[in-house]
Amino acid sequence: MVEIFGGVFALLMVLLLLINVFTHAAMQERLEVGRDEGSYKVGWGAIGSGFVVITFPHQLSIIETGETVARGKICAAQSPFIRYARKIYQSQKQQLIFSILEGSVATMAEARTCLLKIMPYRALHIGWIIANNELLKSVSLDDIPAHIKNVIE
Amino acid sequence: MTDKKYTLFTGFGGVALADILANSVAMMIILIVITLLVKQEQEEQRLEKIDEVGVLLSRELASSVVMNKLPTSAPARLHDYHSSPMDRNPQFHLMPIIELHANHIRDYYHNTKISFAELLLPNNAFDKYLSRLSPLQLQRIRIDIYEVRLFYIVMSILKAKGVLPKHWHFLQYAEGQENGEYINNKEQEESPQSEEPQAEQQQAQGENFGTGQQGIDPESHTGEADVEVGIPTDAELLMSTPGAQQAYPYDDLAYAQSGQAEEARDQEMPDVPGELSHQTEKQKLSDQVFAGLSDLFNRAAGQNRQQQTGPRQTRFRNATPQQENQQAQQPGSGNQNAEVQAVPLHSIIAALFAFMKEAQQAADQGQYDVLEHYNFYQDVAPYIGAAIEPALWVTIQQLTQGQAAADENKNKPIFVTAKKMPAAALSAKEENALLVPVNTRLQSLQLQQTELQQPPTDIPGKVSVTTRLSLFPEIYTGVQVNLSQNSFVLMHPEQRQPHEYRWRMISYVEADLSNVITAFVYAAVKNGQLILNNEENNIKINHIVLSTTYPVLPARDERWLLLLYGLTALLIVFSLLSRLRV
Repeated sequence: MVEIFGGVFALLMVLLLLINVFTHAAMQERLEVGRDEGSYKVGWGAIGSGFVVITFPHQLSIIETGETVARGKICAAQSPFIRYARKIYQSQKQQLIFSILEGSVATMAEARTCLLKIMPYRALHIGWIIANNELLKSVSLDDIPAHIKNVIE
Repeated sequence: MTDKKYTLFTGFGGVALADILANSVAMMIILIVITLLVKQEQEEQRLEKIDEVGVLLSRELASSVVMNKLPTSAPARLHDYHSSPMDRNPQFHLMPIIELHANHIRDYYHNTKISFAELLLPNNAFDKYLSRLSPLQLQRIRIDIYEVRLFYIVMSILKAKGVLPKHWHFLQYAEGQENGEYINNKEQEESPQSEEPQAEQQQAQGENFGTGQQGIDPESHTGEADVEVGIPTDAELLMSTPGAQQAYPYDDLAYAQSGQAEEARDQEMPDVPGELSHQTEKQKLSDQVFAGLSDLFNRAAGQNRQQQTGPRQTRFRNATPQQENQQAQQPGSGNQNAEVQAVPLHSIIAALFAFMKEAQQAADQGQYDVLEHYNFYQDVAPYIGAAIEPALWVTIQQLTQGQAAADENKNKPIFVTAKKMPAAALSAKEENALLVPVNTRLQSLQLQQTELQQPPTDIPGKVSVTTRLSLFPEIYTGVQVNLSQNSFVLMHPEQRQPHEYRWRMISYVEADLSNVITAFVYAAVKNGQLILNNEENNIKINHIVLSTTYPVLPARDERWLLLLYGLTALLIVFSLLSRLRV
């Protein structure tokens, strides 16, 4: 009896160890997928790439870093947006892409003004896409109306 | 006598080992279940944290954008809405402006609106408005976006007419205009559009669009004043500097006054070596559009581009000897030097101070090569826009003023006097040292000597003074510069402590601002002056090297060792000779 329980105990110990190892690896894998640059970077091959930030009515979200900045504080001295913008614009081939949601033009305007302020010595370029509710809904339904398709294609 | 049952595994305290193990197994199973649950919970929490970002836009849209199913705009060149030549004097016949609001669009000039419902009708007022515009007006149309709800509808109408707007403004409402209802105020009445000829207004009218009241001043509702002012703009900086506008060589606002602000800044920015000179084709296209529009509006405004004088060039470099510098300037061989012009100088100098502060700290921590690969765009430019320390204001103001006087005195000798001190008051390092005021325009220097030392015959008087600037915080390589009248030696104010001799980072600025060399000097600080040591800094007056005051090196340990080895050798030789005799 002792031998049986002892053997089972040892097996369970090994099982616990394996579970820990495998769940950790699986979680890392899933987290890596979440951090995949495909969710924030638009590549244009050799000619450069764009990094998506999303503007909301009251905040700006930096996809790559997961940071958010409240509207009105986008250009504050320690703003993550400033840090991120400087990093992106270190290379001339990189630029920010603003995904502008409904009600967030003011946020985007503040961010673009901030770019001009912090890098007044350079010709800056941005990309932008209008992500209004109409577009979001049609994309989620995978049924983009002709008038939108006509514009975006 | 009963038989005692012997077992290999005895119990503990009356509890059989089998029971203990059975309980342990049960506990282990519970532990495994708990572990699995905790891991699952942790995983969900962390994934939720990541998903917060992705879900915000909706995963479908994010992946669509990224997969280029929904292409973003072509790279668009940012421009200043106020000072850009395209926008400073909007006129209907040059640039029709359509405003997009939440529930309607609006003609900027005539304050007429078209509702969302009306836009959906065929051949609506907006169609008619567009059909009345000339091809030239259609090309130059500007879209002011306050809200994006109607964006795709308006764009589809424009695209159907073959119109592809290239000029966009993203604007926010001023206070009190959040609902998109404009407040008529005095600015509206005084807007430049009030002078629009009535005939032009009527020409542009649709049935219900393009007629009505005047537009409002765009500056009245850009709302940019809401932006955090932690980082001063060039305009704020300039306006807070008294008299700076009169003598500001790289002032883009000066160009703005002559109508060339954006164009001057962009077109006259020289190509810089390295990756910054590379532009994508899309960006070039955007720039071409931008330049074309700017040119168009300047010509339309009757402005003479030839009137502007070319801006100066300032070269930012390290203390690499000139031959190596020339090699470095060859295409593809690096970018140690950069020429910058048409850039707000006060921002650059403030950034330079910030860089020097950081670099000095790095050098103090043993990073000797902090200046070896110095590059303006990589090292200094990132600091542009940071808050300017009040202690630097006077220096920046001096640098940006008195330019004409500085030009005349470039590389002219500087007045040097001898400062006599008792021999006991000066250490060996301090003799023949040069006292150089920092962060101010150099007008005179002092040569520090003991009472027994004789100054060069030309002192006191105007002489040529040169000193070496070192690339590293050691005597290795560097350049010899002329401390001429009106030149500058910049040092971050924090580096005044400690006072004793050490390698200090400074920037030498030529009188005409043509060269800014950032380097190390070996110096102490006293009364706000650098005391440049003669030996490490190779100071020359009228091309004559000042005599060194270091004492002759005394007999060193090596000499005693040599004597010991010699005596030992002699002892061995004598012992050999004595054996031979025996």
